[in-house]
Amino acid sequence: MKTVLFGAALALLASPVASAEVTTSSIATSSAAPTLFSTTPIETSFEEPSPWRTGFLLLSTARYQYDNGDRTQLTAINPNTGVLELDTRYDPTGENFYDLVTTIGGEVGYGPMQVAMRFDTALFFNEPVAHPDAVPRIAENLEQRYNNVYNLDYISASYSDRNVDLTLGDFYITLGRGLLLAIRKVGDVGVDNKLRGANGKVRLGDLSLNAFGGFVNLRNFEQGQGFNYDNGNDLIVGGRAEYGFGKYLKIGGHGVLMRNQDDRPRQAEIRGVGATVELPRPVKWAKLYAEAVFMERDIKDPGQPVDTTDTFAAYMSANVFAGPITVLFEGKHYDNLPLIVPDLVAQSDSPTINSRQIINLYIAQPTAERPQLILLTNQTVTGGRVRVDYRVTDKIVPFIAAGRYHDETAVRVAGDGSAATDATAVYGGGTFRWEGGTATGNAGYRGQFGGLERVDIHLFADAEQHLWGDNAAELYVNVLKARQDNEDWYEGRVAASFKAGRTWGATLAYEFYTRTPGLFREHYFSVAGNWQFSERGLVRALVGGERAGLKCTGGVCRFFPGFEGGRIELDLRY
Amino acid sequence: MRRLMLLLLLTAACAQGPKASDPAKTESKASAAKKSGAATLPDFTLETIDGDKFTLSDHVGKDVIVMSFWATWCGPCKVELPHLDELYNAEKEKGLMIVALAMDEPTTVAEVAPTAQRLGLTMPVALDTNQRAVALYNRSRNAPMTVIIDRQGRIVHQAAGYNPGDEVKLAEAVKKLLAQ
Repeated sequence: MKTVLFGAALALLASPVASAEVTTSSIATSSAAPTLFSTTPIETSFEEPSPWRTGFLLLSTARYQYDNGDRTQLTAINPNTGVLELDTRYDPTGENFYDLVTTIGGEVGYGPMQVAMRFDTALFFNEPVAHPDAVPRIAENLEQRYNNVYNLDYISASYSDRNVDLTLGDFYITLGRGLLLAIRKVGDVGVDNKLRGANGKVRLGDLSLNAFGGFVNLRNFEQGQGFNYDNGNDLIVGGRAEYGFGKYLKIGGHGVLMRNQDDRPRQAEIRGVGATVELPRPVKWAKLYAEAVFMERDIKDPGQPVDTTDTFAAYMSANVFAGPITVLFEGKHYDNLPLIVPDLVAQSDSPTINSRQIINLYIAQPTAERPQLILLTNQTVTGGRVRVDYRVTDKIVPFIAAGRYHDETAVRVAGDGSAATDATAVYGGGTFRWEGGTATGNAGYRGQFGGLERVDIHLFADAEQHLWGDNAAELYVNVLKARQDNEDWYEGRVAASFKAGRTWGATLAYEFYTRTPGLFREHYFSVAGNWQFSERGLVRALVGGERAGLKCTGGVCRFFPGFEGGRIELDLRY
Repeated sequence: MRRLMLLLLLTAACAQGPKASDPAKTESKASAAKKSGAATLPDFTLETIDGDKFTLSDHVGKDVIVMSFWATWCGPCKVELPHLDELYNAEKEKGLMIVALAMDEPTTVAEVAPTAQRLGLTMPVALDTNQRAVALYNRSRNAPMTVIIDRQGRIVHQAAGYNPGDEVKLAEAVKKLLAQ
């Protein structure tokens, strides 16, 4: 079998910016085929195709972290004085260390059967250590960081034909829109949650039945800050049945049981059921989706009666297609919808839950908002948004969107009605194409008032122009102006890229974050490049700095620390 | 664990894939290849945004298939898709099937149908919310990602990313495959 691999993606070489709009994706894939875009012509034969398939993947990233300029985590209670103070003897976000992160994967397929596995390693050199006189919190923090990792992260055997899907090993599973369960991979923010067990789906005409069960298998390493953590011991079993009446109506129901199997003082068990109704295209100009879930969470403390909390959540989306006009409406009503994370801790149970647990959510709440501006906690909230696009021509498509939300999450926690927050968002933009070029952009306002006050104004634009031959240039701008607690700041990224076909590319970027200049560096510059040295190999490199910030993809947001240093990535696929 | 890894790699190294050869083979061989094509690849069935079902095996061994993995949050994807749709409309009568496989998460899947409408897509747009097709054909979850299957049921091309001008080369290659 021949092979291929490719790359493109310049912008991703220097990325962490608060943006839901991923302008360019990650690179390359495994394959067994000649490439369209090299000089090798596609060859075709009439030999009987072999049922065998193979693939191999090696991704390796070496980094040197000089100093990310981040001092935010240095505050700690000094045990000698009892005062919260900065400890300047150690930067827990890490500096002056090296890491080498490698993923090796392979797959073998025979007809409808496929076996795949992936092995991850993370090695650290010259890793930070706590000063002997540093506050204890720093040493505790380090216990979870910069530990070498060797992990068989993914292994599965699957069979897929027209009527049956069966997987043993690791698999992803989402029920409905994920209000009750969404075990998924969101690669751009480093989330790769799986269930390790069995998953079977059978299609019998218009009826489909799905049953599954397994233990949660997380990606046990987080490269941004060098955290590593175990899988916990959460068992999840469930099932779903769905029946379709042609294009007109599809109904479904599902149930889930989650149970933590550890022998810990506080046990949690979650039971949930959900129902979905979909009108995929009852008429040519409209479609509708609605989902409702009910959940019970038991918290069992030793010697205490079981504390059971109820949840109800509903979500709907509707589309109207009227000639050149497209309307999207989303609405949600979440009443105490918990953010289920490893060990089945709900955020509302533990306000101090740490950020790396948060990214490994077991559910996916449709936000109905621009995801990079998730400021509400999205647990007890009612609201919706509408977006209208007008297709003036094939090349000019402007839009406008508006949303309104009322959040009472803090009211539930504090019992204080004044803690409610109301948010309003209005933004607009569009997509524009011309001969050899395209541009997309939007700008808007979001204000929230009440318990948690904040105002944001954003501007996003991305334009690409084909130049000559295979060459192209891209300009990317993403700026946010924010105001919170009487503090104003800017954050964002401006980048210019040049691509010489698929062979090489270069990006110059400037990033900024002007909030609390004493704790974060304000200005970051970087130069990045990629070089595809063969059909099977690609190298990417970056030197310079990247700002700390929130990066969102697919509704999952994660805070990335700043970076200052260099990194080089090797991507080999066969 | 190490043994398992070695075993897998050894198996991969030993496995033989299809070999290119002289296209001037007999018609009967071509026919046999087409019949067996559907059995050479793992299958999947996904819902489309129009409420239909897209099943890969309906087309394997019969059509030239282009699978385009995309997502509403992927800028280059939305540049590439109108070009693919244009190609689909030009060549579908000759046996070309292009399917746009949306990898959107539950959190953004409501955007898929409006986005397809905005882009004026007429080709099938299927929803891979459970990452079934991704697990089989795009394990790295790249977007955009293009996979081409020829009429014999073989994966003849996979590529991630999009650069302006790629659509021209793609169209040329697809037309060659359709002509064979």
